[in-house]
Formats: sequence, C-alpha cells, structure tokens
Amino acid sequence: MEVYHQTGYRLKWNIDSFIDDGTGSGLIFSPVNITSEKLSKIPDDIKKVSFFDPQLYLPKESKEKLLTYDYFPVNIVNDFQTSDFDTIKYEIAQRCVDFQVENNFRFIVIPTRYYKTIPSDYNEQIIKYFVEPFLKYHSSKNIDKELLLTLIVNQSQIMNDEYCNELLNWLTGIQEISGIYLIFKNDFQTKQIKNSEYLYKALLFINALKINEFLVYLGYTNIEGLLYSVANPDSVSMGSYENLRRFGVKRFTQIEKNIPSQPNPRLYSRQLFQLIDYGYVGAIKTLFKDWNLIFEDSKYHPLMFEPDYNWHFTKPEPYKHFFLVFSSQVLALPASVNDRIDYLKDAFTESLLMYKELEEVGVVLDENSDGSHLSFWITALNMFKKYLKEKNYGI
Amino acid sequence: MEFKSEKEMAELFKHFFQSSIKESNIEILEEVKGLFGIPDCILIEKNDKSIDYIISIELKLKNWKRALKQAFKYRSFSNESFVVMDEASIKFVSKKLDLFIKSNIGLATFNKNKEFKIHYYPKKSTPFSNMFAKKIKNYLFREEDKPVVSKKQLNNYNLKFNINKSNCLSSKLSFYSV
Repeated sequence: MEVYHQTGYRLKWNIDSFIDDGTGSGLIFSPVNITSEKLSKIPDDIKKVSFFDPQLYLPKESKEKLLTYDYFPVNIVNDFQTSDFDTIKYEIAQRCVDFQVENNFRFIVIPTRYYKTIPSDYNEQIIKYFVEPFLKYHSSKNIDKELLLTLIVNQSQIMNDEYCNELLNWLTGIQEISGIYLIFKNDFQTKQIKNSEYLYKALLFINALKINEFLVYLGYTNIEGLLYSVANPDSVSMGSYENLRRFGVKRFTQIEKNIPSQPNPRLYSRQLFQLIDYGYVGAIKTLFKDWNLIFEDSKYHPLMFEPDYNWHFTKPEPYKHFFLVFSSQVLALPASVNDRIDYLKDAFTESLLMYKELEEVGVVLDENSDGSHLSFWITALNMFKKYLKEKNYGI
Repeated sequence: MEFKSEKEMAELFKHFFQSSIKESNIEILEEVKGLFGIPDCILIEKNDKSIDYIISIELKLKNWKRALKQAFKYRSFSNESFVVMDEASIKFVSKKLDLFIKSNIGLATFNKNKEFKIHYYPKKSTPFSNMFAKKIKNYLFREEDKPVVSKKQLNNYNLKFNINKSNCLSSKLSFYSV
C-alpha cells in the first residue's frame, strides 16, 4: 500500500518532505491552493508520480486560484449557473483532461460535484456531466493514462448497506475507469473517528471495490488510514493541517463563513496512533521517564525538543515529522491482509497499555489527544476479520 | 444551595478572591486566551524582576472529569492548578480524589455563602512549559487598558520559578485547606 501527500496550504512542506525525506509515493495536488502556472512549473519527476484533484466540488464558487484553471466553469461561460453544465460539460472535460495530460500526472482524475443533500438522480447526474464527457474525450485522444473517478461517500451513505450496494453496482457498470479516488466525508466531532460501525462499513466498501478490481486511492484520511489498510486500498493519504486529513467543502467556498482559527500544532506519536496537542509535550517529557519511546526520533525531533522551540502552526517541523513517521509506519505494514489485521490489533493493544502507563504517572489527556479511539478501531478490525472469515476471503 | 450557572459561580468567586487578596504584587487574570486551555482564573505573584508563582483555577458546577482535564493543561504554565467545584457536587467528586492526587491537581469547593474549602492541596511544581509562561509574561504587558507592568520591567522579568521558596499565594490559599 502506498501513501500520498494530500496537499493544500503550504504545499512546499509536502514537496520538501517528498524530496528530502523520501516520504510518500507522490502528491495529490490541490488547485485551490496553487495557480495553474505555478503547478505547471513543478518538476515533471514529481508530477509523473502524483495526481491532480480537479476540485469541481462546488462549480459555482470561484476561488481565486481555482480561477486560474481554464476548465473551471466560470472560465468557459460568464455568470455560470449549474444549468449551464449541460452545454459546457464536454468543454470542461476536454480542458481538464488536457491539463492533466500536459502536466503528465500519473492518472487522469474525473472530478465530481459535492452535494449537501444527495439528489435522487445523483448517479445519472455524475454520469451525464462528468463520467461520459471525460470518457469520451479520453478515448478520442487515445490517452494511455488510467482514469480514476472521484467519489465522495458521506457518513449516512456508508452506513446504508442498500445504498452502498447500489453505488457498487453503478460503479462496476462503468467499464473504462481503472479506479476510484475515494473520499469519505464524515461529521464526527472528535479528531479521530470513534465509531466502530462506521469504520467497519468503510472497510467493507473499500473491500468491495477491491474485489471488483478497482484501484482505490483514498483521499483525506487521517491516522485511520492505517486501519483502512486492512481492506487493501492502493493508497491512503497524509496531510498537514486538519482540513487535509478530513474532507470538508469550506476550503472551496469563496468566502469561508468563519475565519479559520489557528490550529494548535500536534506531534505525531507512532506508538500512540495519535497526533498529540503540543501543549502535552512538556507534561509527558516531565512525568514519563520513557518519553522517548512515545515521541519517535526523527531528524526534526531534536529541534522540536529544544526548550525554547516555538511551537506554532506555521513551523514545518511537527508536520514533516508526521509525514516521516507516518509514511514509515505505512511501509512497515505486513503485506498480507491477515497479517495486517493481527499486526494492527497488537499495535493498538500495546498502545492502549502505553496510554495506561501515562495515566499512571498522572498525565491527563483530553479526548483529542488520548487513546479513546483505539478500542473502537480494535472492534472495527474484529468485525472486519469476522466478515472476511464468514465470506472465506483469505482467512 | 447550588449555583444556577457557571457564570453565577464565577462572578461570586471573583468577588471572593478580589476581597481576599489585597497584595499589590498579586495579579488576578480572567479567561486568558492563547495558553493551553482557558483557565477561569490565573493568580500571579510577581515582583519587580520576576513572575514568582502562578496558580490556575478551573471552576465547574458538575463535570469534574472535564475540569480535571482542563486543570491538567494549566500545569503547563502554572505552579499549582486547581479544580473548584460547586460544593453541591463534592460528594461525587471526593470519591475520585485519587485521580486528582495522581495528577497533582488541587480540588476545592465553593458555595453561595462564599465558603472556599480546599480538599486536596497539590504539591508545588515547575510549569511543564516555559513557552506558555512566557505568554503569560507577555499578556501582563499586553493588557490594553491597564498595562500591569512597564515594558522595561517586562524585559527584565525572569521566569525561573523557585518552587522551594515560600510564596505569598500558596500561603494564602493553604489557609483554606480542610
């Protein structure tokens, strides 16, 4: 399984990490954060192993940098209305595919729209406005790059077996696409997902796509990407800021309703499967004598642990440390699904013991830095293992 | 009688402290943002050259678990950190006193009669992070309406807490231990 950088604001950190630290297989480029001109200037060596998310999620919005891409609807028709889609869909497809071909990305990504409420004719709309025009242009130009279809699956959809089956039937009917750029949209209030049923259903969905021989590239994953690995997707993602580790459309709106608050930097702990608020670093270091076991060494580690290190969300070290440690964690996963499940269950169990040790020395972590997600993750793994066994899928 | 709201409790607690602490070298700050968590109250003992001691307080009507988590955060920049509960909740909380002891968080109660009682007095400790203590130092200067100290004084402030030295704040608070 690979890991891709989900890029956004401060793309430079991802590129630096990719080049200097060798993290990730490539990048998922985000046009809302970089102009087409600048993106075109990124070295081909990087682009050919990366892919581009066209981000037509909210086609009526016209964020400044998105407007620099000529496939964006307002660049094709003045005063674009969604009703114009029908007349410009081929033009959008042509321009968007051309851009991806010119930049020699690894795949051609077919965009999708984001609907707050899914319309009853969702599948038809996606086929009509995106899939059909993109396939038509792709085939007319004999482009040899494989096609990924962007698919957003929200929380209520993933929990609905009937809907998921319909979705799978629909997807398997689209012969020409090689894979799915899959984005799970959820509205959980905590930073890590604490719902085993949801995680189990997500695993089932990924597994079903893989059984149907789709490539599955997961976007906007957080640490649960490690958990998703047991359904054998082709890649998970890693992002710096939270809006790159959890999908939301706020960053694609022209005027974000609320000024985003400054995020607290968080330090990733491989042992704890958690991005821990930097405010706890001093406490852990003071109270837990084996603190070095919790915060794994990396080239960024010495600087971050200097007494006067200025923890701030604009400092790259915590984020680059995360990329380095998380990507090595992904690479260390066993190759077989069976082994991965057992490996992760053991690792999560060990992690819970370490949280217990922290508790014993008096460290009190809040719900976004503690290990309360891990019992849900272990349950999801058990549920998935049971499912595979019942279906005789290799266990 | 229980407090009707945390706001009511905070108001009364503020009056209580303001009337109990008259020393000019002690500052009482409320809801300081930009630290690790937002304490309801920070008591700072300072002199011309240094911030000598910091005590942070979290007020809660009922949710002691949340209060404990918040108060633990304040240990990053405080020498002592307290949870002050509405006295009406103490029965439930006292059963969990071991957790406060383990985390070295003080546990106190307050009631409508302005009776303040400390059930567990934490050990003095050095703040976990110098960075947050520096922010408090900057905050003392930044208060727009009434700069507490001059910029010249501020630059001379040191943040090397000496927890072995006796301090006025701890002595005052210890008085309320039961």
